Formats: sequence, C-alpha cells, structure tokens
Amino acid sequence: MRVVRKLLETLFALILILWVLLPIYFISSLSLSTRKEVFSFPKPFIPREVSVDILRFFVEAHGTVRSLLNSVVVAFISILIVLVVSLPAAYALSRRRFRGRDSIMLFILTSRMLPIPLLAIPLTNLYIAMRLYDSLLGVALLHAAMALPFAIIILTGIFVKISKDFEEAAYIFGASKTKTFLKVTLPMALPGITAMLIFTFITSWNEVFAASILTVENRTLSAHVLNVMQASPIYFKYAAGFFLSLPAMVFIFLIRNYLFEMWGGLQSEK
Amino acid sequence: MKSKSVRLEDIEKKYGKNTVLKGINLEVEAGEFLVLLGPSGCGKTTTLRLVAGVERPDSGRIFIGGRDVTDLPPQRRNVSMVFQNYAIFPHMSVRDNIGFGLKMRGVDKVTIGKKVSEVSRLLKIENLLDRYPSQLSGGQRQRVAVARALATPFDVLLMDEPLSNLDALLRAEMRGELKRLHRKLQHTVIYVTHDQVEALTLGDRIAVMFDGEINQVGTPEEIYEYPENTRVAGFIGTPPMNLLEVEFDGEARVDGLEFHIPAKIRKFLETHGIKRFKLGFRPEYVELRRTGMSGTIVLRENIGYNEILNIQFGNHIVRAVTKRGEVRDNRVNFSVPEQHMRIFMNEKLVRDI
Repeated sequence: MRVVRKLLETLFALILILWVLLPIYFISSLSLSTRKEVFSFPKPFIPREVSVDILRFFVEAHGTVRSLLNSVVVAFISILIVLVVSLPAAYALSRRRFRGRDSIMLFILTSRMLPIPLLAIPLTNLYIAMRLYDSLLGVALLHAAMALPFAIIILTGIFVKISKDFEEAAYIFGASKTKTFLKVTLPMALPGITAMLIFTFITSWNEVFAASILTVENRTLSAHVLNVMQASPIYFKYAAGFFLSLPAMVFIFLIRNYLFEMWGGLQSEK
Repeated sequence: MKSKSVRLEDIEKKYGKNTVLKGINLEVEAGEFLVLLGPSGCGKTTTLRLVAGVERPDSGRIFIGGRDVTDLPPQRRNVSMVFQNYAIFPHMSVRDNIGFGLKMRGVDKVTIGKKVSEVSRLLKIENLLDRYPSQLSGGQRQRVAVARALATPFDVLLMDEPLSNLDALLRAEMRGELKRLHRKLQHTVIYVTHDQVEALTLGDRIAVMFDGEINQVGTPEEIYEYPENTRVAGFIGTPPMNLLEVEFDGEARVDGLEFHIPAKIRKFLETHGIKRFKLGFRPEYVELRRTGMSGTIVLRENIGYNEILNIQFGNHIVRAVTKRGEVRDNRVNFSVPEQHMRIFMNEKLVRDI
C-alpha cells in the first residue's frame, strides 16, 4: 500500500517536472539549433547542430536591443521604488505593534486581488491624464505596485527573524537608531533583501500585459515580442522565448534556497 | 575607568494590565557585584532592561552615579551589557564585534585596536579575532560577548543570565572567570540569574525577587543564614530550608509530635503569646544522633559525597544532609542546634530572639 502510494507520488512529481521542463527544453534546444532544423519534422530531441544563428537573428531584429534596454531600465526603476517603499514599511510592520497592523498586512495583499486586465482602461485613462502613458516610468510604477505586496510581506518576515536583541545591543553600545539600522539590521537582512529584489526584477521582466497596453513606442522586451510575434517566423519566437526566460531561470536558481526559506518561514511565523 | 553607583527609586512597570514590577527600590554601590536572583518571570530581567534603557518604567526614577537617567535613551546612559543569547553580530568578525562600541563613539582605529587586543587577552580569545560568530562554540561566543561588553567604556556592566546557555562544566569555568575579572577590574555589575549557585558564588550582595518585588537584599551569607521570609528560605539552598508548621501550647508540636526547642525560643514564644509559627532550619545543620526526635527515612537521594535523607516526621518531611552511608538504619533520631533555628511569624523572619 505504502509502496503504491510512494510510486504514485513519484509519478505525479515526474509529470509536474516534465510539464515545466519540456517546453523550456524545446525552446532552449531549438533556439540553439539551425533554422533548417526548426522547420524539420520530426524535430530531433537533441539538436544535430548547435548554432547561435537564430539567437543572432533575434538580437539583430528591429527593436530588440531597444526594448531590451527598456526592460532593464523599467526593471531597475521598479526595484528602486520597491526598495524605497518596502524597506520602511516592512521594518515598521515587523518591529512595531500598532493598532490596525494586521488589517494593513491584509490590505497590502488585497491590492493583488484585482486582475490587471480589469484595471487596464482606468489605468490607461489615468496615465494619459498624468502624462505617464507610453513612458518607462509609468510601466515601472505599475510593476513596482505589482511587486510591492509580496516584497513587503517577504521583507517583514526577514526582519521578524532578526532578533531585537541585536538592535538593543547596538543601542546600548552607543549606536543611534539610524546607525543601528544601517550597520546591524540592514547587513543582517541583506541576503534576503537581495533575493526580494531579484524577485522584483523577474516580476518586471516577465510582465507583459500592462507593458503592452500602457506603451506604444517605448515597449519592454516582453511587450515588443508579443507585438511583433504574429508577423515573425517561428524561429524568432523560439529565440524570444529563450531570451525572455533566461534571466528568470538563472536568478531563481541562484536564490532558490532563499525563496524556500522565506515562503516556508512565513507560515511558521504566523 | 571609574565605576559608578546605581539607584532605583519606586520603579513600577506594567505590560498591559500585567504589573511586572511593583515598586522596586535598590541601591548598588560603585564597584559592587550585585546579583538579581529569582525564578523566571519575577521581573529581574525587566529590571535590568530598565537600567539599560531599552525599556522605560511607568513610574519611578533611575540614577547612575547620581545622574538621573530615567529619560535618557540607552546610547546616552554609558552602560554595557552581556545578553543571555549573547547577541553578537553575526555579520561582523570577532574583532569588529568587540570594537563596535568604541567605533560608535568615534574612537580612532589605533586606540580601538589596542583596546580590542587588551580585552581579548583578558578573556583569552586573541586567536579568535578574525573569525565570525558562526565559527565559534557556545563558550567562545560567551567570551566574545563579555569582551565586547568590557571593551566599551561604561559606568555599569549589566549581565542577563550570561551563563544559562552553557553546559554545566563550562558554566562553572566561566563563573570562576567572571569572579576573577570582577576582582581585577572592580566594575559595578548588575547580574541577573535564576541560578542560586551563581548568585551565592558571584554576588557581593544578592537581591532576591519574587513576583515583581524585591524580598531581600543582603550578602550571600545573610541570605543563606537569615532569609527574610519563608519564600526566600524555600528558594535558596539545595535542598532549601526545612519549614515546619508548629503549634505552641507550652510545648512545640508538629502534627501533634513534640519538637524540641531551646529555652530561649520557648521563653520568646511565651512572652509574646505566640500559638503558631513556622520553624526553619537548613538540612545541612540537622544533627543525627541517638538523642532527639525520632523519624523514619522514607527516601535517600544520592548527591555524590553526601546524601539527602528524607525523614518522615508527622505529616512533614524533614530533610537532612549527611555523608553518604553514614546513617544505615532507617529509624533515626535528629535534632537541630539552637543557633540554626529560625522562627517565621506570618511568613516573616523573627530576628530578635
């Protein structure tokens, strides 16, 4: 009985892994093969010839480099906004017991309840009125707003884990509140903060819907790809998919331990 | 570095509806090692945190060296502290940890370096200076925490159960070390512990706390020999003082059995018309001879060289400490020397008999 159960569990896990890995594998392998092979049928599981031909075509295509730079700029502006807002917010939520603290925590999450498509038209109106439409800052603001709830909650969990004793020790040994935060609390939270920022980066990098509707000229890479996809050859799509998923894969691999710790840890902190 | 006195006046502290300190009055002399002793939850750590300034009292004043520091933040109180869980900064090397206080005071690097090596020599951790806390054992972390506290100039050194996270052998070693350090440096120390052995060995004086109140302040000898009330008597000593309920009608009786008391106490009871009281005496002072009251040994607890005899006397258990194997028979006679008997009226020690 137990063996059957174990077997079923393994099978299920295997299906899940293949579900995620197979598309990634095909996108990667095909974008690293030749154009001829992309059109061949049946496609070989292992490419017969490795080539950067397709990737080069994608990078050299009109608008790619510009939208790539846009993506980077947008991601960094949203990281900056998230950092400036979430650090004090999370610190206050972790250190102070004030009235309405729990409601605020909940309220922060409710901002993610509304789907972006629902917000699209009012947001576009608002952006046009505020002259933010088709600007990188506008996209960055929205990406920051999307990443902030998780950033604040993750960061609160990180600060909660840093014992107040360290700060009290710093006070007693003569450090001011600012110095204590900069020299003691922040360095201890730094690995977690880094992980949170990478998470924000990926959120912004991968986001496509808002970026598409809020821009016309200044498209981010994901929005650009979506826009030109219909008119592009199939190998362009493989290369774009590979390019877009690359940073997320690399970064999430780097911070995987942190993500488990943060999300696993939050539950036990409740 | 001149140490300073500490004075607490009518300190009260509440957490919500819970009053944790009910009017604490305490004077610690300059250069004195004062131990705050009490069970967990008695408010001793809160008292220490109030002196440090990381908590504020609801009422009352705190003075350090005559200066009212009640409203000053911890940074401006000139105190130093060793935390129970050490709280040494994990992202700094041992060297930076020890030098932290001096750096925050804007002391130049050369002076910090000198002070760090001086203090680390004192605590025998010179070889650990470039390590990080995660690479240290519990005992080494303890030493780093003490070194950091000593390196920073201070008027008062506060210690919050600094040895409670160490295993027994290391604790005994560090206890001796702390005693040696205090002899040498003569700082004013306030030391919080629930361990009476630490309190008795380290303290110049001990303040015994229960439920947010100081019950007695005195030298270890005073606390041990003349506990102010039955609570202190029942807390200090392993095993603690025997406390028997006695009825007096010309003869002292414990559960109807006669208990031999000397003429002096008998006379005192008669002149004051006392009918009931509690009689206290330490297990170490119980004499086991042919004469005296008789009882039955119901349990023997081996504590190494000695053993604790639990003697049934009426409905009470009288405990006596003897050399192991000295008493073989389970029927014993015991008596208590006059000078070691303590009388408690309404749970308070009667001093002038």
